[in-house]
Amino acid sequence: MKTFFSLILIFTFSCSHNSQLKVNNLTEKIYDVEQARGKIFYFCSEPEGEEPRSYLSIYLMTDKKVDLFFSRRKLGTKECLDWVKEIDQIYEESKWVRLVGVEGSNSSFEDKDLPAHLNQKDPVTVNSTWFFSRIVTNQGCMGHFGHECNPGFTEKKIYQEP
Amino acid sequence: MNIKIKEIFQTDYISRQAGEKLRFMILKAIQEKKKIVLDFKDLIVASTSFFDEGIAKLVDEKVSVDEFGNFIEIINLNKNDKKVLDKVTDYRGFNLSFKQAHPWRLCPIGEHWVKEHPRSSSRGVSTVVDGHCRKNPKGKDVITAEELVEIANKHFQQIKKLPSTKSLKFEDGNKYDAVIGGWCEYWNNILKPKIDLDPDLIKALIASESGFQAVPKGPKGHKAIGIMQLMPETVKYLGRNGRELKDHFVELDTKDAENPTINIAAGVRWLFRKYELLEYKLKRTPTWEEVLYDYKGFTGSKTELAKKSKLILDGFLKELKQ
Repeated sequence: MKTFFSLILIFTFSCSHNSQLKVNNLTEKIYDVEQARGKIFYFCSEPEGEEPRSYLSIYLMTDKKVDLFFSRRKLGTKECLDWVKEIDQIYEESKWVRLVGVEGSNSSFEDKDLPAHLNQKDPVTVNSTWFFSRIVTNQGCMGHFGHECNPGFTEKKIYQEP
Repeated sequence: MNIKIKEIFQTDYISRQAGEKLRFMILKAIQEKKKIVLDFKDLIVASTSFFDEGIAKLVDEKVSVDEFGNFIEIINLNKNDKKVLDKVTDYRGFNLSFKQAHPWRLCPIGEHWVKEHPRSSSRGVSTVVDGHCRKNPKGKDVITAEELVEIANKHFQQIKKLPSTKSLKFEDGNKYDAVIGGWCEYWNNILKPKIDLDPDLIKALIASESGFQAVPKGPKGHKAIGIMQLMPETVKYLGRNGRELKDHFVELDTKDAENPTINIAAGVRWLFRKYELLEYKLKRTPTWEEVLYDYKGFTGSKTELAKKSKLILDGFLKELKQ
């Protein structure tokens, strides 16, 4: 199963000039960030449970930190792979990528899934975690619920924050 | 005729003799085809003897449950007494609980509500059929999506136990409070858990599942539906053909589940099923928090992401309880 999930790994080398993050919005509830096609990994987390289920995990890596956006709920194997496929379609040929997460936490942790996908043994520290809301590229958009890609949608409308 | 049990029986409403007296009163009413109301206001009976002699033994007098339901109405019965009554009547095969519809229901138990709908005759004339009750082949308790909406519209403005008014910083955080409170009250009444389901738990769960976004079914590949993110399989399990529930079915389709009122009703019903399954798994009574964790797939999970997700849910719960 581990090998199977590794197959859906996407890795893009970034150039020094385009790994700079542009933070569009950062509040207690919302993290909206974009960068020219940078270092992004996305895959289904190691499945667990009697009926194997995973979280969709999207890691945004820069030289300084790693932000993780993950699905609000565990997804069935096929559902998770479908989500990965959807991201493939808008990410593979993209020039820039924007990620929006909600309900964040800045408590860091040692990630156990990512090292295997990086082909390394050293643990990777994830600095912040967010519920995945949407990923947008110049090729299209994919949202957690789907409606995040509708014209006029903004995460700000969900919260009472200024 | 209204029979106030506390006044009629005064201090003796626990003995077999008192029960026998009640049974004769009921028999008389049925023979004379008179409707009577048994009012248990301000009373805790807690006596199997009284209920056994008074009501369950009517089965030996050749009284059918239907006859009983036609002439006798029981009101203000304490929740624990209802459990006792259910047990003794069930023991004697006088399955009263199946014939006592919840007061909010539009149809008696064994029938379900069909909303107003058009009907075409063989001559091509189209007429409108008013909403009506239709019998269920197996006589089980079935509630339809249409009836759920009718109940919510009619009764949810007067719900006593609502969730906390804290919005959890969501724009729509308080929008569904009445619906959450209403369905918790309804399913607590119907399924009588050892500890009632607290509406705050549902509010926290919705915050974590959808952030109160009444989202329709997502695009291809996105399976979960609506405010409680019900899976299409769950929608199926709740119905009569789902082979998951034994009774108290909820008949809806995936389109119905997009409606927050129906979605919350079905989600809460599903949580009660999770409660049963977890009780069986743990071999003890679970807490409702544990049931919530199970619903979210946290039970036995060791991953950091499950821990992070659990922290968010716990945070919502904590904020609601502060």
